[in-house]
Amino acid sequence: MGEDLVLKAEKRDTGVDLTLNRANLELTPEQRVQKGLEFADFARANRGGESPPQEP
Amino acid sequence: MALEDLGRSLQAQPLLEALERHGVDFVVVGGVAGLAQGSSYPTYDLDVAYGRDPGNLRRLADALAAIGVTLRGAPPDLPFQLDAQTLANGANFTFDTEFGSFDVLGDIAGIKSYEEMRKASQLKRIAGVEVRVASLDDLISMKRAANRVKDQLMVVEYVELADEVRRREEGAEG
Repeated sequence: MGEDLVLKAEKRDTGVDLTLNRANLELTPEQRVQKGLEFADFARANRGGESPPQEP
Repeated sequence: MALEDLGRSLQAQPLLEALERHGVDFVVVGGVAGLAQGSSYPTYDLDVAYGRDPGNLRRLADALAAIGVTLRGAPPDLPFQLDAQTLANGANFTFDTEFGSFDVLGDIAGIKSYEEMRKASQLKRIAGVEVRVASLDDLISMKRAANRVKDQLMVVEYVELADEVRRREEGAEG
């Protein structure tokens, strides 16, 4: 048929945005932790979607 | 649907300083260790693994008393004696503190032993304190063993991150 069967492995797309990790790796470990904890505080302070209490 | 209580804002410095001041043998694990290694997942508590020898249990009990920990999720009137014997009788304890949620872990699934994990850990400065931080490979093993949905997501990131770190190290050597 004039064709060869070729098996190859391709890297799986995991959806991880490595640009974030690469940016973190440019920081010191201390700065990385500080940045992560600040983001956690931001998330804690800005959580939405809670339903108001139900009337009995 | 009620959202998970994320607890107080985490202040790692006073917790780590108390452990250091009391000479506790410990390794930072969990999300803070992941952050220190370059992860982008936020975390809301501090987890440390600790050595189980009697002297270290005494030092850990003293440090926990100095921090003023209380059992997280337990009724306030539940009796809890914080001493080396209590730590020896248990392994993993989850605490509330004025500095945020703080967990001390004596038994961690996924690693061969505390000593092996400590040997593979790296000294890093976090929140102004020089501490041992678990290696990415051990963090991956712990996350794989825990295997909750959030752990599965973090494993994927940690594996990619470990590959990236290795590429950088190989590039630096070559």
